[in-house]
Amino acid sequence: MRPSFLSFYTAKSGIDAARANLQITGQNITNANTVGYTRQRVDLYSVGSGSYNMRYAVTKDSNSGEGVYIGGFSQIRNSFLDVHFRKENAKLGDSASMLEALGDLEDIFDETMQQGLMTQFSDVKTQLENLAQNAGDAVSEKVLQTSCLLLVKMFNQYSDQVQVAKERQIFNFETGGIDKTNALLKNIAYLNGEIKNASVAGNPALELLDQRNMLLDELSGYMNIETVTTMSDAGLNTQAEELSVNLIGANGEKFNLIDNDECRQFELANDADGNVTTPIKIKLINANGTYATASNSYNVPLNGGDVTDQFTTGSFSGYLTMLNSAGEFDDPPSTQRGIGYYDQMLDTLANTFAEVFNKANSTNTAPPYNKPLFEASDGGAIKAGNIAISEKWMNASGSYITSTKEPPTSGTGNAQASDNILAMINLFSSNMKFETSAHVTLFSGTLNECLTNISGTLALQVQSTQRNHDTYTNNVTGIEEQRSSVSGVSLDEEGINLIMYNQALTASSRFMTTLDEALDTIINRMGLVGR
Amino acid sequence: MRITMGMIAKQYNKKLNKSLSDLNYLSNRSVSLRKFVNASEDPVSAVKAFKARRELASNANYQTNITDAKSLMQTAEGAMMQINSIAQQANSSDIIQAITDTMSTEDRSIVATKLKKLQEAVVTIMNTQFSDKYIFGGSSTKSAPFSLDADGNLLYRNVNVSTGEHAGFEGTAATLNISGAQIDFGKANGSAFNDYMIKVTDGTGAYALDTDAKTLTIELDFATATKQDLQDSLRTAFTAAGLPGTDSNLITVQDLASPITSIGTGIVSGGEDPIAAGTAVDLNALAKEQVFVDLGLGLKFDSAGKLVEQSAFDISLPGISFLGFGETSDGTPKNIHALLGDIAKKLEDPSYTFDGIKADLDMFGERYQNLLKGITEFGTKSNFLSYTQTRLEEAELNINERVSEIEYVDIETAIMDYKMQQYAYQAALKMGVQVIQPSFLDFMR
Repeated sequence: MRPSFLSFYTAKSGIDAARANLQITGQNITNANTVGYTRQRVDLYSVGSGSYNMRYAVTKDSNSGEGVYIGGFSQIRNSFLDVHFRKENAKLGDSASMLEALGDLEDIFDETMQQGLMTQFSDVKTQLENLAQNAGDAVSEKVLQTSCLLLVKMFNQYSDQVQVAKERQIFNFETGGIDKTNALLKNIAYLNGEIKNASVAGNPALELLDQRNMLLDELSGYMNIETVTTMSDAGLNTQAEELSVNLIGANGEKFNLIDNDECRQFELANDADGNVTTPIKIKLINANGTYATASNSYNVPLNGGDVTDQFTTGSFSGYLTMLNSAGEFDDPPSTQRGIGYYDQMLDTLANTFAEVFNKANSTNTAPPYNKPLFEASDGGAIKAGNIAISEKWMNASGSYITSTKEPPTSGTGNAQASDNILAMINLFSSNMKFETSAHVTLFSGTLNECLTNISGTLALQVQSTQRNHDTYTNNVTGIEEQRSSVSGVSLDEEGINLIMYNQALTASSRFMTTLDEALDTIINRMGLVGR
Repeated sequence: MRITMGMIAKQYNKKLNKSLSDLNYLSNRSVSLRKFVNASEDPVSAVKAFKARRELASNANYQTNITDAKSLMQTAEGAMMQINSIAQQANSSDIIQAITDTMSTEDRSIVATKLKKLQEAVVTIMNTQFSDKYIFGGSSTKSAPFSLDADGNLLYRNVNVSTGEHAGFEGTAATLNISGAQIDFGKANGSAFNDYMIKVTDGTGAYALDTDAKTLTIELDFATATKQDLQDSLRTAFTAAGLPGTDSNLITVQDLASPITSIGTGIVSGGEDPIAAGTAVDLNALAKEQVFVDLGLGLKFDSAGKLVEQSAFDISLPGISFLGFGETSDGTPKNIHALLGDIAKKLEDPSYTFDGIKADLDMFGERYQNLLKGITEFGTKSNFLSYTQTRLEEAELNINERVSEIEYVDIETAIMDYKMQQYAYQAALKMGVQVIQPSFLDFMR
């Protein structure tokens, strides 16, 4: 004999399931344009007959299925695509932050549309040519001195602007990099806690998962991260998922950043005066305020929490390269050229320029030169930031430029012979070697060519970084499209689903009324005879 | 692959934005006609452009130099032609041609007077100036090169043009004026102290002297110091320096009793070495002096640091190379001025003989021919300048053409590109409306 009211449960479950489906479809449709939303679906399982092995089991003609069971809600998301996206996004962040700094440098050094050092060098040469025809003339020398004054001021200005660019990058790094990352880490840790609590209570918290994924995407732009999910015991024989986020270091070592709801923070190291150190150093701080001491899996020790060398990609790496690397000027020379390289190239150029002209004008052949044209305003080595007209030249009352180094024909005077002035003009076209203090050759060529070389190197670096940036942008956009393809809401699909689920609801409801009618005969129309 | 409306919208948006940004770029380009605005757009062309600009600036320099040199040459040529006409006059029938065996004393006196007048004219012309420079001064053009000594002999830069002996020079004292003190370094010391930078500061009476860097810092106690202290310090310091051939006790400061109360810095200048009268000077070297200018002939210096002469242009014109210098073994001067003077002297001598004056007259004939030769040689130089100027002007045109090729785009290409992009953009806009289609939901009942 079949149970009378059993099928009602089947019908009820059918209606329930159809309602749940409609609800989820409605959720998907309303969130079709929400950023980061992953489409959801109901997990439905058909229910089998359950009591066949019990003492009072139903007989075999009642072993039919008992409806549909709503297992829960889940989202459709491909986690491999997430990993892929985050890797590409890190590269994008790297090239983006480098372009920022390089753009600032380009504004300083690029003379395509502005008149800068190159024009001023040409002007000094022009004044020397004029002086060659008027050697010994105080007025022509004054004009030359004014031109040289403009040149040294321009050197000073370039050097100042490079400093400003560097400080701007440090500021951007602090606010747009470190502070932002710290906030992200805290938010993700907080979300982790909430998600775990929700899942222990049985709520899949899909919306929170979407939120967390968006934050993780953002974090991936800053550094090379990996996410690890582990199952942990949540009491009462249940298990809940925990998420931890690791920074992948230079050699593959992992440095833990977030451990479920606890996170670490980054900070810039300061020196005794409270200024940022040179080179920039980044430290990892534990939740309790102490400095992290080692990587988690490889036990690589950290000196005072210093993780500066562990960033291989992401914005952090971009900023650190631009702020800390100086190409050939580093010891040992590094392959990356940051702001430091251009700053020191400018210094080398200023120094070489001053040296050769001081030597040309003086009558002795070794430093200290007795008729220098340029000197350092603060007494140290001559650099772009401190090059100035020498005190001797500023105070000279008569003719100061040595116009000839040939002795006059005994005692007749030859102040208008100009061979030394021509030698000075020739300095602009003579090949010189520009090298670092450690004697690494930077460039061989004329003064003007060295200056052009600085511009050219920068232009090439900008061009190649821009090309990389464009490639990475395309890659990221491509992966984003693939993600969208998997997880995005298609209104056509949802529309069809609406019709489908609506029909299912109608069908289940009709089934219910059929049962109702069937029972109606037994309940209301049996046993009426003889009343 | 599953396609959602969101994907389509995003892709379209991105492509439309790119199209619009290209349109913007091309519109800017057709206004400025520049191929690139940042060096990073085309680094190779940017480097070429910078080089071309430098060449253009150098070319402008050379052209200025040539123009100046040409004007100088023209003035010089004018002066030389005037000398030539004087020599012509002298050679005319009533002066040198008139000298015979049988002239009377009055005739000789008349000829001598005429010759002396011509002599004066020569000196005036040879001291011609152009733009504040004495053009026949060789490598010393700030003061008049030709003068006469007490006996009427011609001096070129204080050297007798016939004997090569220097007329003597007392020397000029180097001076310096700092902290209100006038310091004189002594004529005899000449140029030994030139280019020294002397600083006077407040301190306890020590001095710091660096003979390599040529600096001297003197500390005086401003509360009590007087100019006497300054003089003592200077003398002590330079005695200790031991510069050869100097006597520090010649250093004097004016107004010794007055105090010194302010700091000062200054460079010693103006000292010129004295020269003893009668010092022998190499007239040949004087006549061959050169002053070079850069005309873009490929300025080069050899390994010893000396200028390679063919790589620059010599604009110096030492007067004596034109007028002649020195004398023959029998005392006949080779200089035209001295010759005229010698002929006049011999004419006025009561013991005049034609044989005595014959050597002079022959020499005069020879030197007169040489004048013309000198002017012709000079003309060659002027021609060279004109030729170089033409070459430079052509080079300027070539460089400008190169610059325009590297940096600029021609207007037809720029406008065509812009129009094409505009068309593409508008087509994209039209298509867009059809891509963002209605979806299934619009068709449900």
